[in-house]
Amino acid sequence: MTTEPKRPGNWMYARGDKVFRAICLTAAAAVLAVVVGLVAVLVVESWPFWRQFGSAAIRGTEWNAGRGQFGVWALVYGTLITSAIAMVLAVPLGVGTAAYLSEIASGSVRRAGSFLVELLAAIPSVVYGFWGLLFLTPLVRQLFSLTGRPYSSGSGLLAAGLILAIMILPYVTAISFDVCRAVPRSQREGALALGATRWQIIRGIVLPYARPGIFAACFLALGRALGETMAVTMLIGNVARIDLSVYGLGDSIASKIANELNEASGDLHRSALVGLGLLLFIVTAAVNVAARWLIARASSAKRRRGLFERLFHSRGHLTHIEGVARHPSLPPPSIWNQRINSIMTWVLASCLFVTILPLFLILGYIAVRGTMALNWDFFTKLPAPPGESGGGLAHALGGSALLVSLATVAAVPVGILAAVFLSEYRTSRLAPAVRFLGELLGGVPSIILGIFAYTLLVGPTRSFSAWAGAFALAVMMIPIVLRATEESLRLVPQALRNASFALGATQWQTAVKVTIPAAMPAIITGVFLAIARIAGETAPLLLTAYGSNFWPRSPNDRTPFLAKYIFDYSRSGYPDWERQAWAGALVLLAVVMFLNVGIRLATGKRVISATRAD
Amino acid sequence: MRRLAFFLVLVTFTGCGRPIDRINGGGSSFVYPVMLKWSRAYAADRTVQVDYQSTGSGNGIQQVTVGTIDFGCTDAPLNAEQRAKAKSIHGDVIHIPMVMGGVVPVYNLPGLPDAAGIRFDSETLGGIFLGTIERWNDPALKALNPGANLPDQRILVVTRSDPSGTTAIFADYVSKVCPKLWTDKSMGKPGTAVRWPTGEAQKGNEGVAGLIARVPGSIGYVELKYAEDVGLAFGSVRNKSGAFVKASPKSVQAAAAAALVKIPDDMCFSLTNPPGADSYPISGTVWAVFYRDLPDDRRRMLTPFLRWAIGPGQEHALKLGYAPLPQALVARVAAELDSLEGKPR
Repeated sequence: MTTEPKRPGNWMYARGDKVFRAICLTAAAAVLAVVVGLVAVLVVESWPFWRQFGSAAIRGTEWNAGRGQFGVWALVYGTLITSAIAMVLAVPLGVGTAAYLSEIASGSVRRAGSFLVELLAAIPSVVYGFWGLLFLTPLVRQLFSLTGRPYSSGSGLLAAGLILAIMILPYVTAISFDVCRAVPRSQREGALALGATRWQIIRGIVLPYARPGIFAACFLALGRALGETMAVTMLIGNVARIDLSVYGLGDSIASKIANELNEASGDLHRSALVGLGLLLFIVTAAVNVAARWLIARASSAKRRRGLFERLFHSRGHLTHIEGVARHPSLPPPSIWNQRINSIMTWVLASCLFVTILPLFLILGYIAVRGTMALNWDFFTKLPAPPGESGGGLAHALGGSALLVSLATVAAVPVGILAAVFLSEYRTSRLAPAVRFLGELLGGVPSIILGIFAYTLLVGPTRSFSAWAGAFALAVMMIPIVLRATEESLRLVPQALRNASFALGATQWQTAVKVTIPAAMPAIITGVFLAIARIAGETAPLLLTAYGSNFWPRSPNDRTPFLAKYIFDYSRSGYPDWERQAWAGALVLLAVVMFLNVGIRLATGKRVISATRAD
Repeated sequence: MRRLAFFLVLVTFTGCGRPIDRINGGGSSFVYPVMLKWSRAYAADRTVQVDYQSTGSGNGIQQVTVGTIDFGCTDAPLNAEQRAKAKSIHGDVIHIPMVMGGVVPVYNLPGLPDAAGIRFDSETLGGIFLGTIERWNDPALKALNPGANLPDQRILVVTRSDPSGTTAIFADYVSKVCPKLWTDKSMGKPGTAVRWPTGEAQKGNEGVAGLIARVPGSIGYVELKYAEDVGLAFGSVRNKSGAFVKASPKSVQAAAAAALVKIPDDMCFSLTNPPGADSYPISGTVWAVFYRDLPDDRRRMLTPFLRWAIGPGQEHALKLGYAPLPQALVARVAAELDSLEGKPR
């Protein structure tokens, strides 16, 4: 009892708890305030549009700002159809890959496979768009000409759907993999003992058991696909019309906002775009809530009824294990079953192959082109005027570092303290609301956070600034840090806390000196993952940081950032600029990969499970 | 972690601590190449940085109006609605012509020799962009280009996805010369945001140029400089007096001379489809737009820059393929800048 923490009568001892609770409560309330503020901004800003157009907007298909027509259907259609293409492709592939990795693959393949799949999730969306533009669209164009489709550049609904499929694949795969792994061993062993083949186990035991979790994974992936901005706007063709063929062109809600928000000349036009943002927010929020609800229902159902019981008392699942269950005395797997088993093993293995193929295509393509384009000037010079060779993006590297630093400094304390509130003061009535809204915030498309930051910080100060950009990025980081911290705090054994209390420590002393340090490695992992997630972010920064051709001077000024140059230069056709886009993409990719691989090696933590909040 | 972040911030600031004045501009991608050139040349021996971002004319107008940038550049003067809005926020907006240039029909037809260029007239250009001419070997195109081996291929039209001054110039031309195809009822008034009935859209001059460079069979409209730098073929266009003219600084200057016999008071004018045998018919102007009532510190930086740009700066513009302003116009602009500087705040 000679340690220093407790000194009865000390002010800190008496008031410390209240102060600390107030601080944590403030952080938690900040999360609440951000969500409430976001909704308020969207509703207030879009109100003139809904009031004036209302039902006309919902019914109309024509979006023509020049003539004051703001029908949303063509955009809704483009958003839905690209997401649908993505889901149709990504769900079977992702679930197949997950099943293969979980049930068939050997330990080393499983580790390598799940690692590679997660790297796919770490690639920034502007890099996906860049690659899609230069690699995917020519392929699609050839496919079109082979099948005699109307001539196009290869851009369009199909190309956008394909790139979305690649982008959401890791989410479907990783979460499905997790739930497949969660199927109790005894289930598989029971079926094996009955003579089932691997495929029969997958089909009859693992997938039915994991179904709610897989549905949830699909909903989360769908939420991401619906809100994706940069990759889609680069590939979809940007023509707001309803083209019933998947070979056609289109435009999506998020892409429309990115293209027109800062250029909207009339108040009504602007209001209409924010209205689109509100629509997108509602849809993605609904999809995310559905996902959480499914997860919650699945886990409570499991608690209510043991799995073995559930499976073996309902005949539906058992009939899949043909013959075996109905006739336990039959000899184990027939030749026919064996054959199906080996075919399906190949099918599932090829799912894995197809899933990670894009990773190698993207990494390889960008590594080769980027390395050729990298030189010292890139890191030290400012952009040269078009037509002059040389020049670099040094200022953009600095600007990106500034934005990410500001966002990190702002988001990390809020995220951690709010998580402490959730985990250490979990009896508070505020806690469930904060947890729910935190998760909701994680699912909000980044372009909407751009609208939010613009309205709050750019409009009133009448200046684009690093502050506004960093604010949008911080709002993206908070849910990731919050979730990572809360999960790791929960894993700190209660006994540690009890021991601390027994020594006379107060709640805040326990939190600051015992619980948080114990959870620190996991918290740091969460922070780095959040940094990796925002490092390549583009859409909200286009609306807030705006870009600049000079070194960032102060956070009050508009600020250059790397992703903007990738976006602008990649589409330009200028050979010099395109080279710099390659180099920029390589650098961005290297940073993000370094963060992800580093975390993985340092902690063994799985990337997607830590960033599940988005 | 946080220590690292602070360190990064510190490094970022110390690296650029010189007290330098900066004015923020943005808008037209048409003028971006020369703006970047001007901005580098101007900052080389002065302490004023002119930071210009290529975001599209619509963006330039909107951001100037709400005051997030000090000046915008646009290839289309503000329309009545935009002027009224600006007036309600912060008063009058003035237009200062900066450079002129040609908007060229660029295409990607690998089989054809670049040098000659396809000949277009008002009917064929209008027909292609308004969707009535769908194939490269259309009889109308063949009649204009008897020697060229035009392929039997669909035309892929590429336009702009963002509200754009280049679009405004091109649409102004098409609406003037194809009154049958372009009616206000079918297409609306020509302006920065046009919904073309055919083709796909890309953001910025650079986006359109890039797409055409990648996709055979495509056609679009970009500023001359982008066409030249990306190495795209572009056609000649038949002007009002019947001659086929290719865009060049000279032919745009001829158009300006023919169109600007009398300079309007607000310096807002259209250069499309002017008379004269040497005039390039799809010519346009880039204006810098800003509030007449700028804060003093901003104006002290902006007006010298504009004065420099319409003076010595025009040489840079000429080298980059823009047409310098006619002398009469330069004198008018200088007088306008004088009055701005002399105006007591």
